Parts: sequence; C-alpha cells; structure tokens
Amino acid sequence: MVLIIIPFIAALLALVFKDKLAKIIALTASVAQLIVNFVLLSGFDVKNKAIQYASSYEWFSALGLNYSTGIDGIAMVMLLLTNIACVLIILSAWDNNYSGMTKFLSLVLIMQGALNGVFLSTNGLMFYIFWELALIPIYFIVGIWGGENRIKITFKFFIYTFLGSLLMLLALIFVYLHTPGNHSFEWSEMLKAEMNGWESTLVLWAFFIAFAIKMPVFPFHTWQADTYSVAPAQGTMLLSGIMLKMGIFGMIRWMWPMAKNACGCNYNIFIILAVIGIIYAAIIAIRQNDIKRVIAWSSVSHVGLIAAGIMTWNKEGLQGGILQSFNHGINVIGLFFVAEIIERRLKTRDLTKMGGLAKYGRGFAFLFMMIMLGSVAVPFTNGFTGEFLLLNATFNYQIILGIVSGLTIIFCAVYMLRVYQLAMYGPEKDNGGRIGKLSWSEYLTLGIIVILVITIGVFPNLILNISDTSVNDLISLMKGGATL
Amino acid sequence: MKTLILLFISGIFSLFGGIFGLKKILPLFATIALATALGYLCYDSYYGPEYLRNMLVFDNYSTLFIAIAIGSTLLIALMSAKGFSYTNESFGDIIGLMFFVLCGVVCMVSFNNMVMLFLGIEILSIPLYVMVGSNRNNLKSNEAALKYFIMGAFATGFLLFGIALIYGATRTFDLDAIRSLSATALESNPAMISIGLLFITIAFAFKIAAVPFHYWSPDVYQGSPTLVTAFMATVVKTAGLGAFLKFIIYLSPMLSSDWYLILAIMSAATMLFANMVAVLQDDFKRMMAYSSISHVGYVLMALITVNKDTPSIVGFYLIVYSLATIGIFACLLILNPNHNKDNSFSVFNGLGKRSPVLALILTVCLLSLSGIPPFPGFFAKYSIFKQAISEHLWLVVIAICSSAISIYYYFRAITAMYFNKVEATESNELPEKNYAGYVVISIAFVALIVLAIFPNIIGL
Repeated sequence: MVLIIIPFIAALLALVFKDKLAKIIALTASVAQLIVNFVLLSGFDVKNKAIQYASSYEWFSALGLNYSTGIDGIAMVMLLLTNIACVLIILSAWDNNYSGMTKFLSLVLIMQGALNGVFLSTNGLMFYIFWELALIPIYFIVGIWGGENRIKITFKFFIYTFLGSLLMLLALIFVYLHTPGNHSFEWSEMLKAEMNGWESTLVLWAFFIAFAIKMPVFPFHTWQADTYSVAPAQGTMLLSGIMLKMGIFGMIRWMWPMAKNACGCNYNIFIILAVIGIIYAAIIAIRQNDIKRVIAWSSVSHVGLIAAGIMTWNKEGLQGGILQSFNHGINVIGLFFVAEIIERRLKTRDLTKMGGLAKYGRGFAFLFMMIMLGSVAVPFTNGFTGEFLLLNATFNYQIILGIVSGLTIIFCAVYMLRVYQLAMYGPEKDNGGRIGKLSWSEYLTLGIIVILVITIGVFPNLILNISDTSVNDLISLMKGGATL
Repeated sequence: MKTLILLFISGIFSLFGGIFGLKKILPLFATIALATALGYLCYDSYYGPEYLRNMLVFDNYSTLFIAIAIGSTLLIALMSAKGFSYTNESFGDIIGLMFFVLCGVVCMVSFNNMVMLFLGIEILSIPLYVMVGSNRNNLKSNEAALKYFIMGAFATGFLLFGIALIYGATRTFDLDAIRSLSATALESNPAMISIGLLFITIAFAFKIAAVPFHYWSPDVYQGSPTLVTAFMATVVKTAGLGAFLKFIIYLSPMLSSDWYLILAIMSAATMLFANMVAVLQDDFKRMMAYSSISHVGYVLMALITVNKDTPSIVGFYLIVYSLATIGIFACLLILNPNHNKDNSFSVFNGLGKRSPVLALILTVCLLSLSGIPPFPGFFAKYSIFKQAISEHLWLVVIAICSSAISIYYYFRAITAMYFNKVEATESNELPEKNYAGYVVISIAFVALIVLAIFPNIIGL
C-alpha cells in the first residue's frame, strides 16, 4: 500500500521543483521506499505460506475490481529487486543532465510505483491495470530522451507490448468468467476457476504470449534490442532490470496456476522456444559491436535460461528462476551503467573504437570486471548459484535441452570477455576520451552493485530463503495438495 | 418536462438576446441556464405522470442521458465566446440553436411514442444543419452543412418509413402498446415488422454514424467549426445512442436473433473499419471523426447484449467519452482558434515544450479514449467487453484488436506533442490566452482523474 503511494507522491513533488532539488527528492523517495521495503521484510514471516500484509479496498465494484494487495515470498523478492534497482537507477542518473530532468525523474518514480503495484496485486484486474500503467512512463522515457530513430522504435515497442497485454486481459476475463459463484478477480478465487483442458490451453497461450513479449522469449524478442539500444541508460535499466521481471513474475504467479489444467506438453514447446532463444541470442551477441546491443542480446539469452528453468516447474527451476531474476536485474543494471559511463566519456558505444580503457581507469576496470564475472556466472558471484539451479532443473527435465542450454555459460564468457578485452585492453585508440576518475555517484552505484554481486554469490540463501516456503506451497498447490 | 421548458425558454431568450445586442452576456447566460437545468434535473427526482398523453416519460433512464447531454453542452457553452466568435452578429442564433438541439435530445431519450421519437430527431437535426454551416465564409463549412442535410433527410425518410410500417403492423405509435402487441403482430405481419425495424435501425445508424452509414461523418466533422464538431461528437451521439438503446430495451420482444446478428456485424464493421481508416488520416479532426465512429462501434456491442445494467454501462461510457472528446476539442480550439490553419497533426508539434500543461491534459484525454488503464476509458470499455464476452466472444476479440489499432493514431498525436521538434517556420507562441478553454480542459482533466481513482463516484 505505502509502497505504491510513496513514488506517486514523490513524482508529483519532483515535478514541482528544479533539477537539483528534484534529484534529491527522487533519491530520498526511493531510499525511503527501500527502507519501507526492508521494514516489511523484517516483519515478513518466511515460514508462513499465506499471503501476508493482505489488504483489500473496493475500487470499482461493478467490475469486480478491488484494490487488493499482499506479499508472498516470490513477490517479496521482486519488490526488493524493484526498490533496490530504483535507488541505483536514480543514483546513476545523478550525473546526467537531460533537458527536463524533473519530468524524467518523476516518470521514473511513477514507473517504480506501477511496478510495485504489479508485484503487490492480488487482484487480476488490478494486476493488469498496473501492468499497463508501467508501460506509459517507459514509453515517454524512451520516446523523449531516446537516441536516433526513437519514434519508430518506441511505437513498435508500445504496440507490441500492448497487444500482448490485451491478450492477457482476455485471458484474465476468461478465467474470471469461469470462477465459481459470483465471479471474482481475486487471485485466490481465480485459482478455483473450473476450466477443461482445452480452455486452459487457450488461457495458457494467451498468458504465455503476453509474458513472452515482455521478457522477451524467442520469437517475440524483435522489439527488444532496438528499444534497449535507443533508450537512455536509465530507461534501459528499467526495461531490462525490472520490467522484464514482470513477465517472469506473471508466469509464476498468474500463468501457471490459472492454466493448471492445460496439457503439460505445451510447456515442452515453451522450453524449446526458450532454449532456442538462449543459443540464438548468444550467437548474435558475439557479433555485435555496440556495447549496449551486446548486453541487450545477452539479456535475451539469460532470460531465456530463466524462462526454460521456470517452465520445468520443479523446485530447483522455480527457486533458480526467482534468484536469477534478482541477480540478472542487478547485473544488467550494472552492465548498462558501465556502458553509460563509457559513453559519457568516449561519446561512443562502438567497441571497435575503444581500447586500453583500463590504463586510465583502474577502479572502473575492477568494478566492471566484478559485474562481468557475476554475469558470466563464475562461482562466488551471484550468477553462479542461479544459473546452476536453472541448468540443473533443465537438465533433469530433458538431458539434451540441458546440455544445449549449458552452452550459454561458454557463449556468455565469450561475448562478455570479448567486450572486456576490446574495451579495456589492447592499444589505446585515438578517440579523445579516457575513463579517468569516476564521480562519487558512479562509484557508489557500481560499488553497491558489486557488493550485492559478491554477497549474494556467497550467501544465496539470503534470497532463496525468502521465496522457499511460497515456492513449496505453489508446487504442492499445483499438484492438488494443500490450499492457501 | 420542466427542464425541457426551461431549455426552450432559454433558447428563445438567446435568439432575442442576439437581436437586442446582449451578445456579451450570452455565454454567461447560457452557462447559467444550462447549469440550472442540470441542477434541476438532478435535484428534481420527481418522475411525475407521463406527459402529453404518455408521449414522454421521464425516468431514471432519460435523466441519465439528458444529464450527460446537458453536462457536455455546459462545457461547450463555457467556451462559446471564443469558439463561436467567427459568427459575429449571429452569435445569439448559435446559442439559441444549441438550446433547441438540447430540446430535441430531451424528446429523443424520453420518448414513449414513435411520433415523439421522430419529432425529437427532427428537432435535434434541423438546428444542427444550421450550426454546421454557421461559418458562412468557410467553403468547407457550407459543404459540410449541405452534405449533412442531404444525408440527414435521407435518414429521416428511412425513419418515417420504418415507423409507418411498424404502425401498419400494430396500429399504434405507443411503445408500451407496441411491446404488448408484438407477439400477435409478429405472427400476422412478420415482414412488415422486420422491414420496419430494419429501416428504423438504418435511420439510427445514420444518426450515430455507424458503418456502413457513416460516410457523411468525416466530411461534416472536418468542415464544421471545432466547437460544433465537439457538440456533434458528444451531445448528438449521446442522444442517438440513448434513444437507440431505449428503442431496443422496449422492443426487445420484437427483435429477432437475425436482427441482433445484423447489429453485431454492424458493430464489428464499425470498430474495424473506423479504426483502420483513422490510421490513415492526416487531418486531426477527420481522425477524431473516425475515432468517434469507432466508439459508436463499442457502444453498439453493449446494445446487442442488453441486460439490466446496460443503461449504466452505456451511460458511464458516454460520460467518459464525452469528457475526453470535449477536452481534446477544447485543446484544438486553444491551439487553432480561428480555424485558419489546417488541423493536421503538426498543430501539436512540440506542445510538450510549448505548453506542458496543455500537453499533459491532452495526453490524459487521448489515453482515456484509447482505453489504456488506469484511465477511465479503460473501465468504460472493459465493462462493455465484460457484458458482451459470454455471448459474443468473437466480437470482443475484434473489439480488442481494433483497440490495439486505435493506439496507433491516438499515439500519433502524443508522439507529435512530445517527440517531434517544432519546425522553425512555426511560431513557438501559443495563440492568445483562452481562459474559458483552460477552465474547460481543467474540468475535463480533473473529472477524468477522479473517475480513474473513484469510478464508483457517479453511482451508476
């Protein structure tokens, strides 16, 4: 409840003030948000499988729309990610001086509110409303502050995702109409919807396409690389760090339980699509010369692995998926921020024009290396545990798919090290820019990310424990055992 | 009834006020008169005996639609000083005609007799023809008036013919009597009834501009003065849809499944065609014409799956639609007050920089029309989808697809406002301040936001 309201109020406040003050307000708000989140976490009983902090108010009764919020372990991880990431994102914008900075920050804050709303919703229609609401600020962020060719690309992005959302709406209404008694959009009621296998399959596909577009899973990824590379750095971070987690969360929270009667064979198709995406995107990433595009494609590849792992629907897969969503969010924000720092100094993102950056930016080189290692999933960094669990799940599901997706680790090392090598080592190119000293906000942002990378790498249970009970309960629920 | 009398007297007063040089106070007078009428309508929940030998019935239903129409007119009247300034000496006439149109609206949505329906539509249409052509020096305005008149006359012919056929089969004009006689009449004269119903349907389709009877609408919307366009897009649509819905509710025992199927196809065609063609438009007003046609398609979807909640669903839809439409036209009026520029999308170029407030409000209105949550347009559209989905899943799927198409053209305006650079030749200055216009858009904006957060507030 508070988590949704703080950003909206702060967004209005930030709009009133001038640039510098707006930055302070935005940062304060996001830190306050994070503190609230930690307070909630400290009061959160990880052993309790019920949805906690549940509350419900009437919004539009005639439509079955209630303002219902609640947190379970899975949502808690996502909320943590959102609120940590937003602090980082606002911090990373500290040195940017976009024209209309106040508007920019207030859009970021609105986005944060909407994302929190998505993860908090326990009402189907409310989930949809916040899902769409999150789309509007990012549309403006990319459209106004984006790079070349932005109008066409944002349009494509918007229509693509909007179509997916409409499919989701159809699916939600369809499930709603099959809920027993007086129809209801409440999550716990929608679980009881009675549908036969064929209807469930329809619902499953509608949900899948909606979420697959958001994540994006192959072959629904065509909007992604363009949008990521054209968006301003913070926009890309929002998109890749948090927004695509909406898709993952949607799959776990809504798609799977709602379409429980659908034939499991559909999931085979989904996993195969995801695995194709892993390899396909990784190969493309190796060939890119634009840093942001490399990271964008690597993101498709990583998310493909998360999707494949989740859709095995066993415990390792789900836990790995949730953990890796968190890790991927942190890592990808770090990587995009690295790209942004390089672009600020060198005015280019072209790898062929870079070289020897490590020489005049040792601190930067170290931080970049740590984040990169996290992304490549080296042991004792956060990526390792997550990917290990995911690969384990895929492997248990089907050996060949497991082996194929295991290639991702090799490919990832190839393209990431290639970026690092081309940018940081080798002879210096004459391009008039050096990394030099980082500003305090840059140090702080990267520092926090690196600390997170190592902490979660060494103690993955920090995250895994939060979602453990909820995942167990979800699995037993799907097997027709316990009820919530 | 008293509202009707009040409106009529105000109309007469405006006409004379124009003659006797009271031009200055007329906008104020109109606003006060409309506000009084609206307040009286809402306060006076006395639904007395049927008037004029049961020809008019005032009940909750008619009150809802009359209130929407008067409310929309109120917002338009607020802007009339600037919006109708081109008329010079005939300013009073326009205000008077506006009141007369409202009289027609009252008759249309509270009719209980086919004759009253016909009279209402005529009282509504004839002043409207004049209003459309009121910009006498503008060729397009003249063309629009003539086109509207000819098409409207055709529609009237259809309506009259249909009413006559129904009368022939049932020997009565009274709705209640027709309803009770429908079973026997259907048995003895099925052809007359079905052809009559079809003709009346065609007439309604003309009035509300549903595909394939919409051809007049883009030209008329484009040619009319902006404020008249806003008036037509809101008040006239409200009246037409209100009357049509009442017609369907009353005569439902007479309507065959084939008839509903025709209407369903009409609704699907309206949504698809209007949205697709709107994408191709370069003129903003033409685009808005197609957009309003497409909204008729959505409402038609509600009309074919009537249940007891339908009036409130349609009412809510029309409230949201009217607010957003008036907001958009008010912005257009502020940006292009003298109708001297063409209203292409470039009017909005760089508005996000030139006037952030205006751009924000316009964005909210457009988002609301396109039905993106959490704006109230979403709730409105959604309630219609929800009502229709169990009976006509295919129709809802078409509606959703066409909603997705509509995003394209609504966002073209938003794109122009925020992403397009202002060309050097265009002046960065806004035209002179139009305070009334700003008041209207603020009202529309606040109302839309309030409806988004507290949709229960109007208690429909």
